[in-house]
Amino acid sequence: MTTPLAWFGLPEEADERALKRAYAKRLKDTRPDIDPEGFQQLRERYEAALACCRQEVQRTATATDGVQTSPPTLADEDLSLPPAAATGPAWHVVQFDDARAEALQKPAPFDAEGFASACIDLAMKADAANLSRWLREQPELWSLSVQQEAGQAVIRMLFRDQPPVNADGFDAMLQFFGLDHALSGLDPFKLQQLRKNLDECHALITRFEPAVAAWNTDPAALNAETVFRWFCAFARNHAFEPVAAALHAQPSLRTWRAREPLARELLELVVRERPPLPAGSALALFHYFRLPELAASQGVSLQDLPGQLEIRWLMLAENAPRLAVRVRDAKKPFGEEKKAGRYLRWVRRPFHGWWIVLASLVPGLPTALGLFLWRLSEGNPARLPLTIDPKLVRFCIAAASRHLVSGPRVLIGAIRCAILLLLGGVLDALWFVVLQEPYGEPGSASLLIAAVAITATWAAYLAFLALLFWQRQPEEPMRPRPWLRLLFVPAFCGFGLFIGWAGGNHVVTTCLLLSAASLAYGRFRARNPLPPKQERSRWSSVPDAVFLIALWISLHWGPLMALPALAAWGADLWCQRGRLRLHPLARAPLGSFEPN
Amino acid sequence: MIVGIDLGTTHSLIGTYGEQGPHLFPNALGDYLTPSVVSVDDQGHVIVGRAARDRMVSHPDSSVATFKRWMGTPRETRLGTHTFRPEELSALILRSLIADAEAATGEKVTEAVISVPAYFSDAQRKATRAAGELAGIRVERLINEPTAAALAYGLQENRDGSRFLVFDLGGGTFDVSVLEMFDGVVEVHASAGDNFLGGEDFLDVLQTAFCAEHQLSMDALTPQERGQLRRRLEQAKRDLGANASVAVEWRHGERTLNWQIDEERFARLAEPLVHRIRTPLERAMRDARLQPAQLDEIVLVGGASRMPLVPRLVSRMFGRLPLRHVNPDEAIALGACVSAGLKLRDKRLEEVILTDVCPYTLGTKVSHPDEQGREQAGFFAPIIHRNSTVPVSREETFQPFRDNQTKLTLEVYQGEHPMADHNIKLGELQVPLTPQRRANENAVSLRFTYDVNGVLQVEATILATQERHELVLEQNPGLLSPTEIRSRLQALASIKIHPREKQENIAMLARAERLYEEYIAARAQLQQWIARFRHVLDTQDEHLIREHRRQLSEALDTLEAQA
Repeated sequence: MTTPLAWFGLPEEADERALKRAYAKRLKDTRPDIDPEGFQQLRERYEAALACCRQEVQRTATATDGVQTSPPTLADEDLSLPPAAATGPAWHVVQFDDARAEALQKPAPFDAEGFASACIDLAMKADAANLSRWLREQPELWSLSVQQEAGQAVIRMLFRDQPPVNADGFDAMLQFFGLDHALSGLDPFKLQQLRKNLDECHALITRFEPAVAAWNTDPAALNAETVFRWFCAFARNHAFEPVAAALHAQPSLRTWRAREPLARELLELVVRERPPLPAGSALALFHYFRLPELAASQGVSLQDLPGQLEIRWLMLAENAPRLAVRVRDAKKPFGEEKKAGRYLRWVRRPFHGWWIVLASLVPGLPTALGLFLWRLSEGNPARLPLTIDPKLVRFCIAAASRHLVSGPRVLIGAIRCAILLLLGGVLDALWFVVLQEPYGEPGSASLLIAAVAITATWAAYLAFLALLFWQRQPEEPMRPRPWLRLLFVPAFCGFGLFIGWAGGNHVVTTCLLLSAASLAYGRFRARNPLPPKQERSRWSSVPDAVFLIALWISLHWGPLMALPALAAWGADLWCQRGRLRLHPLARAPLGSFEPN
Repeated sequence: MIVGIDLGTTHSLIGTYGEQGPHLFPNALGDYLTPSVVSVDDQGHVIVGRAARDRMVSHPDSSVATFKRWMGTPRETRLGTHTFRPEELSALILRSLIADAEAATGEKVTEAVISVPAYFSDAQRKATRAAGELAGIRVERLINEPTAAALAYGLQENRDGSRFLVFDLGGGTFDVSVLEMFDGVVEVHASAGDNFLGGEDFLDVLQTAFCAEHQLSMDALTPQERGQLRRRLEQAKRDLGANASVAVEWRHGERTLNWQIDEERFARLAEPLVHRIRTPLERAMRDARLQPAQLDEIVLVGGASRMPLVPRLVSRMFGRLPLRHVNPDEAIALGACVSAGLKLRDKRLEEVILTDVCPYTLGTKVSHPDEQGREQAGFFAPIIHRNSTVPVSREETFQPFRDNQTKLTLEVYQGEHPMADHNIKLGELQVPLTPQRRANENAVSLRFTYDVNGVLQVEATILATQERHELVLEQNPGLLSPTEIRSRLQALASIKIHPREKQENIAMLARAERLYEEYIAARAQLQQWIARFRHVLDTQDEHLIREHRRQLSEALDTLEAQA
C-alpha cells in the first residue's frame, strides 16, 4: 500500500512546497478541461497528500514544542512568501510604516465573552433590525478574525445560557456572523432545535408578562434561599408555563456565570428539602439551573427527583382532585376524591401489627391500598416520600394481587381465618351456654365447622395457586430437579385416580382430577401464550375449545377426567420438546442458550 | 480567431491573445470601454455604446442599460418598436464588440471566452451562452471574472508561489476570489459574491438621499429628468474619490437644487452596502481556510473599487492596505484574453493551468429524526460543497423515508442555507422504487457531477438493482430553448445596426442632444448646431463632415467646461 505522498514520488517527510511542485508537474499532463476523470483522481490524491503534509508539519511542531502550536489551517504559514511590500518597491502604493497601519496589524485584545453577552442582551430587548444595525456599527467587528471569534462566542453562549431570543433576532445574529449556511460546521439540526426552544421561551415571556412581573428581586439580594422560596411558592400556584417564563425573564440570572453559584446552592436545597412541586415546574427549574449536570458531576442522579417532588405535591390537601385523577380506576372515573383522601390517611398511619390486623378487617382494603400506592408512584414505589413507611408500601403492593401467593397475602388470609375461627368458636360456645344444647348432638358447633371449612378451602386455594405458579414457570432457566415439576401433573392424576380406586370420596377424586387438569392446562397456556390479537388466526383458540369440551364430557365419567389433564400435559411437553433438559449433563452450553 | 470578452454591467471590452500577450481592441470612437447601453433611434436602427449612453438622457424611453442584472430572467424590454430579452440586448453589445475586433484585425471572430461573475448561477451562465449564440459566435468557455483578473494580474507580474485575494466590485456585481499561483498553476481556493451589488447601487443610495433632501419623488420626475439627475450624481460619485466634498447643482423645472455631499456622509449612506460587501469577503476567507495575514496581496479590480470607501473597508478588514496596480477597468478583459489564449493552447501559455471552483453548494432535501423519533423534514444535505475544485463528482447514499415506498423524489437545490426551502431549487428527479422492501434495502446513491464549464449532471442509482436514472434539468422559464434561439437569431438579423463608420457621427449627435437636455441656457445655440450638423451629414461629403465634427466637438467641450 502506498501513501498519498509516495504516489507523487515524494518521501514521507516532503514539505508542501515540494508536493505542490510535483502536483503542478502532473497537472501539465492531466488538464482539467481535457481529462476531467484523470484530473479528479489527481485532485483527490493531491488533497490527501496535502492533508498528510499538514499533519506532518503539525506533528513535528507538537513534538518539538510539546504543545500544539497551531491549528491545521495555519500549518502552512511558513510557506507563504514575505509580504509584498518587502520584496519589490515597485508594488507598494503605501508602505505599512505609518502608525495607523501598525495599529491595524496589532489589534487590542478583544473581549469576546463580554461582547457576546452584550449582543445577546440586546437581542432579547431589541428587534432584529435594530440588532443588525448595532452589530454593523461595532468597530471591533471590522476585523475578520475578531468577527469570527465573536461569532463563536455568541454561539457558545446561546447554547450554554439558553437566553430567550426570538427567532428573528437569532436569525439576524447567525446571518451577521455568517453561520447561517450549510457548511458553517454547526449541526443544522441542533441549531434549528435551539432556535425553536429559544423562540418558545421568548413567546412564553411575552405571554406571561404580568405573572413574571410579580418577581422583581433586587439583584444584590439575590441568593439561593430567596430564589428557592419564591420558586416553590410560585410554582405551587401556577402551571408550568408561567413558571418557566418567570425564570427565563430574570435579567440578573441571564448568564450561566451568574446562575452557576446559585445553582450549586439550589441543588443542595432541593435535595435536602424536597419541596412539593408539580413535575413540569420542577423540570423547568432543573433545566434552567442545569441541576442534573451539576448533580452528575457530584455523583448524584436526579433522574427520579421531579417525579418524587410531584408525588409530594399531589399529597398536599389542596391537590385532592388532582390526586383523585391520578389514582382513579379507569373503570370508575367518578367519586374517587373522598376515597383517595381515606387511603392517604391509611397509608400515613404508623405501620405495625395492629395496622395489619385492622386493614385485614376491611374488605378489599389491602388490594385498594396497594393499587393506590402503585398508581400514585406511577409504577415506581421508590419514588414515594419517606413519610410513608417503605415497609407499608412493600406490604400493600405485595398484597394488591389476589391471584398470587405472597407473604402479605397469606398473612392477611391467615388473620381473617383466625378471626373467623375465633368468631365461630365463640359463637358456638355462646350457643352452647345459652341454649344448653349437649355437645355432640347434630347441629352443634356448626359455625365452627363452617369456619374450619372456609379456612380449609382458602388453604386449598392458596396451595393450588402456589402449585399453579410453580407449574407455570418457564422451562428455562433450569432449576434443580426439573423432572419433579415435569412429572407432577401425571403424579397428581395418579393420586386422584388412586383415591377413587381405593373407594375414597367421589368429590375428593373429582376435585383432585379437576385441579390436575387446570394445572396442566395453565402450564400449557403459560408456555404457549396466544399470539397478539391482530396476528391471531381462527385456529389459535382450537386447543382451548377442545380442552373445555373434553373436560365437560369427562365430568360425567369420573376417572376419565384424567384424560384431558394428561392430554394438556402431553401437548405442553410436545411444544416444549426442544427445550427439555432432563439430565444435568444434557444441558446446553451457555453459548447456544436460546432465550424464549 | 478566439476573443476574450468582458461583458460588464456598465462597460464591455474585447481583446485577444496576440504576439505581445493579451491586448484589447478599441471601438469606433477609439475607446477600449464600450458602455453596455443599447438604444433604438427613430428609424428603428439600433445604437450601441457611448451614443446610446448619451441617448439615455435625451431618449430614456428607447434606451436601456444595466440589463446584465436581468440575465437568466424572462424580463422583456420595449425599445421603440422592438422588444428585447436580456440575452438579445447582450447579443447586440457582443455584435458591436465583435465588429470592432474584426475591424482591427481583419480576421473573422469564430469563438469567444466571456467573463461572468463568479457568483453567477446556472441560469445566468446559460443565458450568457445564449447571448453569444445570438451574436453568431460559439461560447464554450465562460471564465469567472475574479479568476480572469487574477490570471491577468498574476501573469503580468509573474509572481510565483503567492496567495492573493481578488476583490472585484463592478458596475452591477460583486465577486471575491482567493487564489494561489505556483509553478504555472493558478488555483482558485474560494469564490464568493453578490450578484446585485455594484457601483449602480451606490448611485441609487446617492439618488435616494438627494430626493429625500429636496422632497422629490422619483416617480414624479420624467424619465429625461431622472436620466439627467443620475448623470449628475454619477459625476459627483466619481469626484468624491478626488475631493473630500462635492457640490451638486441641478435645475429642476423652475428651481435650481443645490446639494453638498462629503465623504463622511457618503460613507454613512453607503453603510448597508458596505455591510453587504463584507459578507462574501468573510465567506471566501473562511472557505479558503486562510487567515488575513496569510494573504500576500489584495487586488482591487472593477470600476467601483475606485471609490475611496472600498480600499478603506478592505484595509480595516484585513489590517493592511490593498494594492491596485492593474487597471481596474481592463484587468478582467485582459484575463479573458489570456483565457482565450489558453483555449487556443497558445505556446507561450503552455505552462499555465487554471483550476477553478464551483461557487455554490449543491445538494438535496432530506429529513432527520429528532430525539423523540419524530421526522423533521426540509433539511438541506450538501453533496458538492461550495468551493470544491471543478470538475468534481461526489456521491452520497440516501434511504427512502419509510418501508414499502414506491417512489423517491430527489430534489436538487443550490444554495447555502441549512433549510432546503431557503435555497434555489434546480429540479427534481423521480426514482421509482421496488415496493415491498424495507427502507434500508431501497437505498439510492445520488451522484452530482459538475464540470469545468459549470454544467451540473445528476445521476441516481438504486443500489440493490444498479438501475440508473439521470436528471434532465427542466427548461427554466428564464431561459431560451434552442428553437427559440434560432427564431430570435433571425429576428435580430433583420434589425438594422448603424454601420461602424457612422458611429462617430451618431455619437456626436447623441452628445449634442444630451447637452441640449441638460443645459437649458444654451438650448437655442445647441439647437442651431444640431440642425447645422444634420445638414452637413446630408451632404455625405466625408471631408466636410470630418471638419465639421471636429469643430462641433470643440464647441461642445467648451460648453461643458463652462458649466
